[in-house]
Amino acid sequence: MSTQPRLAIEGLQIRIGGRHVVDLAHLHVDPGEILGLAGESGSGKSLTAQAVLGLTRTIGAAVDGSIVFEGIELMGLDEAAMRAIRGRRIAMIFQSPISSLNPVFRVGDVFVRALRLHGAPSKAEAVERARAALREVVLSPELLDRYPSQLSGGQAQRVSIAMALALRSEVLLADEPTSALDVTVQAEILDLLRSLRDETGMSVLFISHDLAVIAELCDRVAVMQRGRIVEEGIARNVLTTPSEGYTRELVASVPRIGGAVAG
Amino acid sequence: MSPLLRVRDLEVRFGDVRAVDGVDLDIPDGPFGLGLVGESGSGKTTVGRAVVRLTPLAAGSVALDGEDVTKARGATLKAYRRAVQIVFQDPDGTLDPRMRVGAVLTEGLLANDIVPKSEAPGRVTELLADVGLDAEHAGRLPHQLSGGQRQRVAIARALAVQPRLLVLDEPTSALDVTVQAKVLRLIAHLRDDRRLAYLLISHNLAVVEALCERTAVLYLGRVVEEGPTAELLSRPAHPYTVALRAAVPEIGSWEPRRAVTVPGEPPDPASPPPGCPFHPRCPLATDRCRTERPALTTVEDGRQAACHRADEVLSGAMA
Repeated sequence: MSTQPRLAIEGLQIRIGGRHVVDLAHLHVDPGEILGLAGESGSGKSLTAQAVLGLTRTIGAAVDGSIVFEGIELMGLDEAAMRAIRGRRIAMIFQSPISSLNPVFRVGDVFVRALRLHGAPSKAEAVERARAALREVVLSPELLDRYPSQLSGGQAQRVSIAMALALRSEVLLADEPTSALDVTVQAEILDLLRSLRDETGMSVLFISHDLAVIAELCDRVAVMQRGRIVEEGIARNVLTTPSEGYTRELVASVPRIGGAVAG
Repeated sequence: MSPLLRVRDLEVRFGDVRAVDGVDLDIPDGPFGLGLVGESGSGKTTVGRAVVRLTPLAAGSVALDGEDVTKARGATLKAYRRAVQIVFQDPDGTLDPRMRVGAVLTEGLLANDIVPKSEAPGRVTELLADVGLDAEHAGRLPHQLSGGQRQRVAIARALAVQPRLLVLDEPTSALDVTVQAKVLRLIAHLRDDRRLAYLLISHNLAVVEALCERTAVLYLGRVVEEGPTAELLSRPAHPYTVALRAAVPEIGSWEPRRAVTVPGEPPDPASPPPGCPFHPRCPLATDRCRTERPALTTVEDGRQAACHRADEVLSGAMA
């Protein structure tokens, strides 16, 4: 049985002000797979995720190529059709979870509105789904009454993940979702993402500069440098025996407990 | 003989919140690194700022070479601040965007009479070389440099006044990983070359391990464990250190994660729990832990921990 990739990117080109910032030949995510997209600042990894959701046009970028999600070509899709996918079938979470929630609305207002927009038949039903989703990410449903500023970073990131869960998103684009969190909280969020994938079959594109986090979480990894993928494969193979010089340098740069800084 | 820096019973309050609540630290003459680790809100940055007298102390003392500087003012304070320099996480917030690199470094040299004006340009070139930058970088503005280069300038500026101690507050956290590795190598090099002593504040245990002989673990404004870094990380005495260590992701640990992660997040320092402040998250907590706060005591030669069950933790009760 051959499985179609859930998300397939072919020949993606992104130019900003005449500069070629992304030139991505091929990248795909299978159903239920966690793909790591690794790279340093400016490598184009976040832009790639934004292109999937059609967000790059808001920054005046020129985008070419093909992005197919479940048989639907997303490039050139009209805004109404895109809206039915963005935030619902393909959800996104960000590095700074508190600032990605509107500060003047209670968590519950944002949550219920998103569920209503994407098909919850009534407000009562939406509230019920929101409460259930919070329980699934091990948060108290009482958090629905709070404002984003009253949440810790870890709680806010869980709320964002719960929203994707309640909307039954098929793809989660996670852009450095644990980079601003403490390590103990990060470990919990990684556990949560893993168990959600196992339970729901959600696909995750996990963007991170942290190769150790990618090693812990991801099935496959693609390493980006200056807009191109320089190496791609099973995370364990790529990170233990990298074949490209750039990947080797990245892996060697990760500080490790038990290893010393070379002089 | 007194250590280079001695901090005793350091207390910092923000309103009713005790951000730092009775911290002792000793740093001997260099080359030596003391690591200060902990999560957001643990008070580690506040300790660093209090040490350089940027944040007022509510109680406690700071002494350099046995000389109390807690209430130093005027020329004494100026001399202390020359001897103890600080490097922040974000160089962008501390470099004047309109000042060229050469002027940034010259200012410190002349204000502290390190060299006569005629020798300043030569010294600027030396300082830039020390941190791995070229003489031509002196003519650049901060925005014409990369993040790593800006952090090197911030380090050069701290070194310009020939400090005896550096407070390094997350010096590489804002940098890309390949750049971070280079700045860490630079710190290791300067440490040996200049016999530097430093307090390295970091959330990254691997960074601290690479650069620090000893490490203090901070939780809710208090030191909960202190000892030689390698021993503290390989055989922790406090359950919080165990949890911190276990939560660090690693390349090469392909087995499923060990299940010693602690649930939840640190409590609100405005209303700390009774007893041991770590007990709500601690898998080993007993009734005693819920009522009686453990003091920081010697658990082994050269090692201290604030835990009623430290002996059991040392013998692997959390493994």
